[in-house]
Amino acid sequence: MNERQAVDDLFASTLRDSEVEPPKAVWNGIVQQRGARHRGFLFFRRHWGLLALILLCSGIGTYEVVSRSAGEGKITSNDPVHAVGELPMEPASKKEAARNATVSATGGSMPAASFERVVENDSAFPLKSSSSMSRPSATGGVGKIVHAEKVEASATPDQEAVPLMVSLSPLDRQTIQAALTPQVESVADQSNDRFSAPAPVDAGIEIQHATIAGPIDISDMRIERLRIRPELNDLSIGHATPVARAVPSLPRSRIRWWFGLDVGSYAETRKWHGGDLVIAQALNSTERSHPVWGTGLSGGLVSSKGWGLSLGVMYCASRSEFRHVDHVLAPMDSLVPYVVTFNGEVIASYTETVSVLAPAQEQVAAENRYSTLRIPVEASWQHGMGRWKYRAAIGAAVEYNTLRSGVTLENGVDGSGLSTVDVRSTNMKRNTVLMTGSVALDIGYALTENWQLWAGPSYAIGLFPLSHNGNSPYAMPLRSGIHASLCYMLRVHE
Amino acid sequence: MYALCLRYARNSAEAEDLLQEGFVRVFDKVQGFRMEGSLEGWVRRIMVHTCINHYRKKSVRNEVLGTEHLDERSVGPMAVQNLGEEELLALVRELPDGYRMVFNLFAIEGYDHAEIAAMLGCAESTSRSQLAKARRLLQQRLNELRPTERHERATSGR
Repeated sequence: MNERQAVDDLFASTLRDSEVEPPKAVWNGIVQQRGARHRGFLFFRRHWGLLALILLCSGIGTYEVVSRSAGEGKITSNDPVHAVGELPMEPASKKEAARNATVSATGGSMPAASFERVVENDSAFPLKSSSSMSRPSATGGVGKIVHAEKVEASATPDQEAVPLMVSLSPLDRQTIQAALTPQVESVADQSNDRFSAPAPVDAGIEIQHATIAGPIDISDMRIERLRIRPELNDLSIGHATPVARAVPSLPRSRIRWWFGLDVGSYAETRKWHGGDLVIAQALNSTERSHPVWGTGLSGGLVSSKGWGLSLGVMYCASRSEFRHVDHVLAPMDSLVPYVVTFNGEVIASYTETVSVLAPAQEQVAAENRYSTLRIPVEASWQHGMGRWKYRAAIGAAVEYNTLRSGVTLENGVDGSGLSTVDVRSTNMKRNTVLMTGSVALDIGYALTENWQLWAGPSYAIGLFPLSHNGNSPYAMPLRSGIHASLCYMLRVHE
Repeated sequence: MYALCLRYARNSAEAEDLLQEGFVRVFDKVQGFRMEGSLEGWVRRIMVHTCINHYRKKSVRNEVLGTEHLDERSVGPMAVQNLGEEELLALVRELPDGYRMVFNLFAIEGYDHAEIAAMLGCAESTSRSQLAKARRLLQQRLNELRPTERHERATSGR
C-alpha cells in the first residue's frame, strides 16, 4: 500500500537532492578531529613503548630480587637456630655432643659459661651448598686437652658456611674472656680474607672441641655476634648442656612516615545535575572533555606490612571550550511596500522600514576556566620487589570547584529562553563542594633509601554534592589520567 | 550532505556538528566500503545514521501536540508552486524532533515504517502517528503562509 501523500512528494522532490555548501569551519573541524585521533593513536603507541620499558625494568628487578631471595632461602638453613635443628641428633647424642662441646676448667668448679660464635654468610653473596660440618665427636671425654683444629676457608660454592657453636661449662667467665678475646678479635680482623686460624685455647683449660671436617669458606662471611651467655651458669659439670638456641623474634610492626610532591594530568568530563532540569541539560550539552593539570602535597604513613594511609591537598586547573546556541529576540528590519492606486492606476508608491523583534539564533563560543581544590584521603597497600614497588589505593576527596572565568547559562529575563552570561557580570560562579571517590594503581621506584618516585593511572568520579541547595545545578566530574609523586620517607618508628 | 544534516538538525550549529561527526565516521569506515554500490548512497546512509544516533543520544521526548485544531485541508497547488527550497527546509526544521525525524526518514529518505521503528527504537504505530502529525502540522503551516510572510522569510534569510 502506497502511503505517500502529496506533501511528502512536495518535500521530497525539493529537498532530497538539495545542496547547501557547508561552512569552511566544518572541514577544519573534521581535519582537526582526524588529526587529534591520529595523534592520540601515536601518543598511545608511545605509551606502549614506555609501558614495555617499565615492564622490562620490572622484570629485571624482579629477577634480581628473586634470585637473591633464592640464595637467602638456602642460607636460611644455615641460620644457627635452624641449622643446628636440622642435624639428626638423637636425645642421647645431644647430651654427648653437648658434653663434648663443653670446655671445662681443670678444677671443675668454676661457674659455667657458654658462648657461641655464629658465622653467617653475607646475604649479598649467597653460598649455595649443603652442610659439610660434622657433628661434635662423641668419643672425646671430659678432661681431654684438645686444640681447636685449623679452620680453613675455601671459595668453592658447593661448600657451606655453618654456624660454629661451642658451649663451655663450667669455666670462669673472666678466664674465658681473657683467653678468647684476642682470638676473636683476630678472627674478626681477618674475616674478609682467606685465613687459617689455629685456635689454641691455652689457658690451662681442657677443651673438648667440635671437629670441623672440611674447609669452610669465610671469605664472604662475617662474625655477627659473640656473646657470653650467663644463663647457663647454673649448669653443672659434665651434664648435657644443650645449646640454647636463640628464639627468633618476629619483626615488630614498623611505621614509616612520608611526605611527597604530587603532579597529575587528567582528562575530565563534567555532568550537571540538580536545579532546573532545562539548564542542567543545556549545560551538559556544552560540556566537552578537557584536560586538567594538578599539583599538590601529600603525606602519610606506611606500615611494614604495606598498608598505608595518606592525606593531601591538591590544586587543579582546567580550561574547557564552551559552545552554545542562544535563542534570542533580535531586532529585524523589514521593508513594507505601499502602492496607492486610483482607478487601476498607480498614483503613488513608497516603502517603509519596519523594525520588529524576531526570534534569532546566536552561536556563542567561549573558554571556561575552572579551579578545583581537593583534599584527598587514601588508603593503600603496597608491595616491594627490591627497589621496585607497586601500590593500589582507594580513597575519597572533598572538592571545591569554581568557575574562575568564562560563561554559563541562565534563564533569560525576557522569557526568550536560556542565554549565555559572563560569570564576571553575575554571581553565578557555579561553585560546588562535593565528595569524590578515586582508585589508583602505582608503580614506584626507590631512588635512594629515602626518596621514592611513584607514578600510575588514576580514576576519580563525583559521588555526591555537599553544598547543593536545590536551586542551582552542580557539576559532577569524571576524571581519569596519570599522576606521579616524589616521596621522601622519614626514619622508621617502632 | 550539509543540506541533509540541516533537515535533521534543529539549527545550523547542530547541523555542522552532525556533518563533522558524520564525515569523521565516513573517513574512519571508508576502508570498509566495498565499492559495490554508490559511494554517495553509502555516505548518505552514514549521515542519516549519525543523525539518528544524535537524536537517540539526546533522548528528546517528542512533544505531543493536539491534533484537533489542525487544519485538515490539503496543500493547494499554488501554495506548492510558490514555495522555495529554503522555505520548505525552514518548515521541516520547525517540526518537533520526533516529527522531524520520522518525516525526514519516511517522506524524503524513503524508509518504511518498519525500518523507521527499528532505527528509532520505537513502535511502528508510533512512527505512523508521528508522520501523520508531522504532515498535518506542515499542511497547517503551508496554508498559513501568505506571500507577504514568504517574502519576509526570504528577506530574513530563514
